[in-house]
Formats: sequence, structure tokens, C-alpha cells
Amino acid sequence: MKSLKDIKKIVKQFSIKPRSEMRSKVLKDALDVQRSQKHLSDMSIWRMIMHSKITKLAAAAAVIIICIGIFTILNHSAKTAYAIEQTITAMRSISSVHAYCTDWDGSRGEVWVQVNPVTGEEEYCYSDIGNLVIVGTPEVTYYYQTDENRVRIRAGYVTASDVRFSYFFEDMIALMEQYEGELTINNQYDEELRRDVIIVRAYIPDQPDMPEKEFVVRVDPQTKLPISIEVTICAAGNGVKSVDRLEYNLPIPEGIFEFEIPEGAEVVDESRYPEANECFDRGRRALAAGDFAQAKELFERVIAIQPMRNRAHYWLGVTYCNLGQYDTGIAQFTAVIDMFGEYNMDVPYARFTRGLAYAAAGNEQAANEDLLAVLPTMIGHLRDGERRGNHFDGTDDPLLRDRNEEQQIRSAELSRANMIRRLRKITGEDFGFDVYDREAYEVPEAVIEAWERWYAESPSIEIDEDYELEFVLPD
Amino acid sequence: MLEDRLLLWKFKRGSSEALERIYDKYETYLITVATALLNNTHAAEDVLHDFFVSFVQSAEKVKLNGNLKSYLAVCVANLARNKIKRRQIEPGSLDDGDSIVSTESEPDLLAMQKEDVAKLNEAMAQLAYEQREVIVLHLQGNMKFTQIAKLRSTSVNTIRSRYRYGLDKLRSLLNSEVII
Repeated sequence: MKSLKDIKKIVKQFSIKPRSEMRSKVLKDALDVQRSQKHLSDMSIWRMIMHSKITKLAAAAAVIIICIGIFTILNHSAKTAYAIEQTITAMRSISSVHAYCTDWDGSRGEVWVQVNPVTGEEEYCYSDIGNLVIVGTPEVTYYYQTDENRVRIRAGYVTASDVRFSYFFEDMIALMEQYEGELTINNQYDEELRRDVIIVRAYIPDQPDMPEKEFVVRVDPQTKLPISIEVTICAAGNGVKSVDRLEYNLPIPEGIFEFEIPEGAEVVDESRYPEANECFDRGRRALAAGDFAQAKELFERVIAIQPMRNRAHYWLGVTYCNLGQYDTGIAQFTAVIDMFGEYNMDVPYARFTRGLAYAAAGNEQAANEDLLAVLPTMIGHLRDGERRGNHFDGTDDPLLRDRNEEQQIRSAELSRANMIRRLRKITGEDFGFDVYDREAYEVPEAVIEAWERWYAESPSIEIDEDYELEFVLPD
Repeated sequence: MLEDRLLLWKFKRGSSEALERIYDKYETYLITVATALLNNTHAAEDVLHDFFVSFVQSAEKVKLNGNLKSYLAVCVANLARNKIKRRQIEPGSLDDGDSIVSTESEPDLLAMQKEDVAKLNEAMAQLAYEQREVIVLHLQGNMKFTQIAKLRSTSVNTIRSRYRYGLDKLRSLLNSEVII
């Protein structure tokens, strides 16, 4: 006997596979009708834009700069300045931008931007390029990775570029000035448009925080609006390869900025990250002040928002250990180790602290396993000082982020000295280095050699319970 | 979904690519709805053909209140209803060559469901058209009773009654050994 539920299921699953010849028959007739339609399709979208009222007004207001020869923006000739000013004026008349883009991997896509007519700022955006769909609204920005079916949500409108559409030239000039770049403008005959267009070439030399970059913007001399942008020099993966066509003031497709989370998609809500950051900072301070109950609550709130925030897990583990809850603390350190383990990366600092927690919980075997496993990193760090064990430095002080810049940087000497303090804690050895002398920064070569010899010949773990691990921090 | 909004926008501006994409995306769904309503695949194909031609002809007037999928289902349902009213077809059985598929993929389940679906089709043919329409639009088209009521200019209670009586009859037919 079939129940009503079964019947509903059968109806829902009912599906007819169309005959293969259906597609060509139906589409042929439909496409024939479409071709014969005398509406917008007869007029290219591009021509429609060029004749739109708003761009006409902008064009009328502008001075034709077609006669401008080759010059650099730094010349500041009256003509140039005026021409740029007119372009800027034209850019301000924009209410929407539609861009067809090509990415570095050859994938194509498009972008829609709605510009606030009063402020000239981008207000909404829709971008669909390759495997990434971005929908930006004033309240929230969604990033949908279609191949992974994952949505990331960030608070507010997150702009995708350093250069804003409606401030394109101002931002570009500011960027050139900031990086001592070159901006050159000349005219060139455009085969597609069958007339001259303005070619703006922007070049930024290699910078410490930005690799060499060059892009070419084609500007329509009538409307003063950019019609395409091509990046000619750029580190791969840094923005799109080219904006092949730009259209302005088109009616925006209805509902395009209304993002619906697809069924079954993994959602990573980053919009609460500011709240998580605040809790994390307050948690660190509570931990440093010895208010472990408060620290526990705050770090747990961070993890509820950002389950993969490794340092929150680490400090929560430290907090639990301070509360005497070693097993719960160990679980937090294990979470950190597993997090990186997925990428075949070890986390010596978490393994070290977990080893101490195991020891405190009375699990000597597990403690020895963890601490022996981190010995190579710890001993190696005595030699290279600034590399292998530097993540330990970030965990010797919950207030590190609050220190000034100088205090945040651990010198190689200080880093070595603190590593010996850790080694002393887990082996009971010091090989002549006075771990109680807080002024003792420099580790003599003989001490390093002694530790290396010990490790090569007879490494073993013997936790010194009487020695209280206390680090020396920069003044 | 956003893709549909964008597709519709492009389609209204004469994009043949958008038309083809809409067709490919919803062909199976629409032929299923039409077949479920008409119980005749040839008539369902005619409806689909007529629908796409009229869809192009009235492209500029297309306006979505909900999603594109529901919109298309309603249009096809309207055309199917007109066909029934004009008595252009008589409800009949699926042809032998018609390809009935299930959304499930396991072979055993598929064989069992094929039989169920064939029986279902025969049972559906015995329902009053109004009942069949509500069942198809609600279960296949994911439309709410209020939307169907608005579409057919009738009360929600009437639509609910048609749905309930239709389902009861379907259950009775599918649970009996012989379907007349």
C-alpha cells in the first residue's frame, strides 16, 4: 500500500526525457522569430550606450581632447588638465557600469556595478567571472565559489579594486603619484569603432608592496568614458586580465543584487569577524591579567564565529591549562595541530605546549612523544635563530599584538635565549646558560654546540617541574 | 537564482545565447510539466514549441514576480489548459518509445520507479484536469497554493480541495491492482 507521502514522492520524481530532435526543432523556430524581431537586438548595445541621454550630456559638456598629442600627466599643461577634468566630469555622470571581463586563465565573465548618484561611490555590484560570483551590497558582500559550493559572507560593501569606477582617473593619478609611476596619453585609430580613441597607459615600477604593473585604458573621446582596460604587465592572479568592454548607464537586470544562498552550500560568515577580533583581543588581555574565566568565555566566542582561528584555539588551550582543565586544554592544542596537519604542516609550538599539558595531566608517554617530536626544531632554532622556531615567539606573550613595533620583533639573540628556557623546562639541562638571568640575551657558541652534541648523542625528556617557564620580552 | 535574472535580462535584449541557455536549462522540466498535464507527449511537445515561440515574441513584456522556473511552468500550464479547452487533444497514454526517467539513479530503484511512473501517468489521466493541474504545479512546479489560486482566480480553499481530492484519488488508483 502506498501512502500519501509515497504518492507525492512519485509525482515529484516523475520526469520525461525530451526527444533529442526536440531541441533543434523548437530552438530553430524560436531563434528565427528572435532574429526577425525589430527591437533592441537590432541595435547593438554599444551604440545604444553611446547615444544614451546621460552620456550625450557628458559628451556635450566635455571638450574634445582628440587633438591632444603624446604627453605625460606630470606636464600639467592646461589642455591636459582640462581634458582630464572633463573626463572626470563624465565619469561622475555614471549610474551603472556593465563590464565584460577576461581573467588570467582565459575564463570570461561580467560585472555590474550600481553607482550612488550623489556620492559617486559604488553601492552594489555583481560579478560573475570563472568560478567566483560576487554580490556586493551596502550591508553585506557575498563570495560564492561555484566549484566548491561555498559562500563567504563579509560585512559591508567590499570593493574589488583600488580604483573606483566613478573616480577612475583621480584614483589612477593618485596611484601613479604614490608609486612614482608614469601616465601617458595619446590617440590611436580604433579599428572596431572606426575612429580615434584616447589611449591612457599607466605604468607602476616594481614596489616593495606591489609588483610591476602596467595597464592600458581606451577612452572614448566623445563621452570621455573608458571603453576597455587591458592589464599588460602584472603578477598573475592579481585582478582580472582585461576589461574587454565597458558600458554605462544601462538599466540593471532586476534582482541581480539579491543573493540567495544556494541549496547545500557551505556558508562561512565572515561578517562577524570584527566581533571575533574584538573578543580575541579582550581574551588575550584577560589571559595576561590572569582572569581565566573571562578569557575562556571570550576565546570560546571567537571560536564559535571563526572555528578555524588557530591562535584562538591555542590561547583557549592555555587558558584551560591555567584553570587546571588539562584534558580540555589538550583538545584545543590538538585542534591546532590537526588544522595544519591537513596540509602536512607540523605546529611545533602547539605540540610543545600540548606536551607540557600532557605532563601536567600525568600522561608521561604522550608528553614525551610530543616533546621529542619538537626537539629537532628547538635545537635547530639555536643555530638559525630567526627561522625555525620563530612561531614560538608569538606564543610566549598573549599581549604581543598590543606591543609597539619594536617590542613585537624578537631579535635572533632573544629568540635563542627564550628557546633555551624552553629546553631547560623539558630537559632540566642548561649547558652553562643562566636561564634565571633576565639580562642574558646572547647565547655563546659553546652553549649551542653543547645542545647540539646532547641532541646528537642522548636526547631525552625530563621535565623540570620546579623551573617556572618565564620568557624575556623586549624592553 | 541570479543566473536566471541575468539570462532573462539578456534574452529580453535579443540574446540568442540566453534563449538557448534558458531552453537547455528548463527543457526537461517543462516537457515533464506539459506531459503530466496533458498525458500526451506529442501534445506536450507542441505546447513546448508554441511556448518558446510566443516567449520570444513577447520577450519585452516578460516580467518576473517570482522565479523564472515558476514563470515558465505557469506559461506552459496555461497553454496546456487552452489546448484542453479547445479540445485539441484527448488525454491518452505515454507512447511506448517515451523515455520516462527518475531523478534517482540506483538501477533497482530506477526499474521499480519506472513502473510506478508509468502507472502514475495512467492514474493522472483519470483525474479531473483541475486536480491534475494543482498537483503538477504544486509538486513539480513548487508553487504555493496561494500562487495557484491567484493564477486560476479561485480561492485557496478550492485549490487545496482539488489537491487533496486529486491525491486521494491517485492513491486509490495506484493502490488498486487494475487501473482502468
